[in-house]
Amino acid sequence: MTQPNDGTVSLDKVVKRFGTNTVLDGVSLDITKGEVVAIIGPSGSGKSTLLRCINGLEKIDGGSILVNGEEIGRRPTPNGRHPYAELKPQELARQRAHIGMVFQSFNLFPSMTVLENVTLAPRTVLGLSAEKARASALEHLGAVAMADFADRYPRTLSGGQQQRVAIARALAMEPSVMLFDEPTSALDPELVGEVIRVLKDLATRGFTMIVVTHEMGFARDVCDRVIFMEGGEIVESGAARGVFTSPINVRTQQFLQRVLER
Amino acid sequence: MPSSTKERPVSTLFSHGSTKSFVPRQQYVFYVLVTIVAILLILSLVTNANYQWATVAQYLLAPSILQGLLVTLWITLVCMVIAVVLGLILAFMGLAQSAYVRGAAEVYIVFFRGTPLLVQLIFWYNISALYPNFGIGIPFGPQFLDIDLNQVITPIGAAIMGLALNEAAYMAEIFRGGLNGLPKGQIEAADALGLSGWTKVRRVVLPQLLPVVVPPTWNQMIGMLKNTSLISVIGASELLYSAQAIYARTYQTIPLLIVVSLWYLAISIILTIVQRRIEKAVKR
Repeated sequence: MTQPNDGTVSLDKVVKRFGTNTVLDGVSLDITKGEVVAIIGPSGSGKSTLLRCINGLEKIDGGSILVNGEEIGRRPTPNGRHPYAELKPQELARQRAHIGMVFQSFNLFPSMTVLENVTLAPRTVLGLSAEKARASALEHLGAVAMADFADRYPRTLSGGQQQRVAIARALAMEPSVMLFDEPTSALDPELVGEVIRVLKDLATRGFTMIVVTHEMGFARDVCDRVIFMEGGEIVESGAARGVFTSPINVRTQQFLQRVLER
Repeated sequence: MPSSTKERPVSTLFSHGSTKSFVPRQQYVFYVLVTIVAILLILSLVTNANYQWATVAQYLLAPSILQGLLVTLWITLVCMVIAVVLGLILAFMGLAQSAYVRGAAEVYIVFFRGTPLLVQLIFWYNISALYPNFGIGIPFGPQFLDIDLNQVITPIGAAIMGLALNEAAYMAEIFRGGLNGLPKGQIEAADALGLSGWTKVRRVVLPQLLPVVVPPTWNQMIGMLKNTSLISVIGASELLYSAQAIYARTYQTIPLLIVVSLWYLAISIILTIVQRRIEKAVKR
């Protein structure tokens, strides 16, 4: 048993199927504390599904996923015939509280102000007092340069602003691991930069970050490691510069050629 | 998701440019015609003695009419509550994994929406002709519970059963639409934050579901208020039946129907005003 909240992620032969379609085909991956990892690859390669499995939004069909040394979504039982039992929804919710997730489409709660969006989970899940949650929320909103917008409603913000609020909302839970699912893909091109700047800043602050992205510049310059996925498998994994300058696998070479040509 | 879509009032969608030059002469002719018809109507209301306004005034607050009104109101309320609960259950059945459960909900809805409410009411009233006894027990074995349906199926009992079971089918459709329309990303965002159970429902699901579901439900309530008049046919002593009981004796049919109409109208208007308030509150 490792320390809780140590910020490690460990996947062992993870299999995920949708019906007869195998989306993740034996994915193994170890990520250490504070590591910033980019996952790249063509659409349909299983990148987003991998991310969604890590915080239990999708149930896996084989293998295991450990975050902070704790198995996600199930626990071992003494019963030999059924070695694992599925976790109850409350237990899964407790695990997720330590894992921050940022979605492609922001998913801010439209009926709440920016501040309410950020304070909701700290108040109801972590049990912070209203003042403490407010102070912490303003701090995190400040870190993404959105503190001045605390009383605005999401629909009055640009996509980039909404995404920065979504990042602050995830950070307010003080997670040990942050997952980003194509955080800039839904943004107008001129708004991508402001979100990338926030991600760069986070990368220097010691969070374990896993970023599914199409922003090759970000992957190359900011991430410690780049993982190339195709067909539900990890095809290549290595130090960011290495993968971009001298990819070993032919499929990686072809993919990078396609995306970097543009 | 588009960051901001400007909302345009519907009225501007049909007019192009300035509206000032857009009042043709025919429109004035129309105004004059409507005014003439209105004046004739009012004149007839006042001068035609057959309206018997004195009788209307005499019965408007008569105890038996008020008694009937009370029955109408509580039956409306009780049936709506049952229909909402049953409708929710049916809607969740409609979303179930099992095709068997989904099919059961589907059959219920097809059956209750596909036959006239009036026929259903008369059917429930006569259910004891089909099943004289309702029992719980082992087939061909001992009976644990045996109810004589002739005793249980009173006009009011059959009325509540008929109205509520019928309404549940419509409520199920409303809830199903609302649940299907919930953005999946919202639920996932709540899950990812570790919100669980009641917090998720109260803070994320309901604020998105209620604006979609409450206005049509209230609409159904107004419909239910008027549909309760159908149960006069099976002798349930609601508002219309109370009036019929009087004019069967006195032959003052028209004034009593006016009394009944005024009451339905008054309650409908009150419910509509409340509906506008709810819509405003829920829109925020």
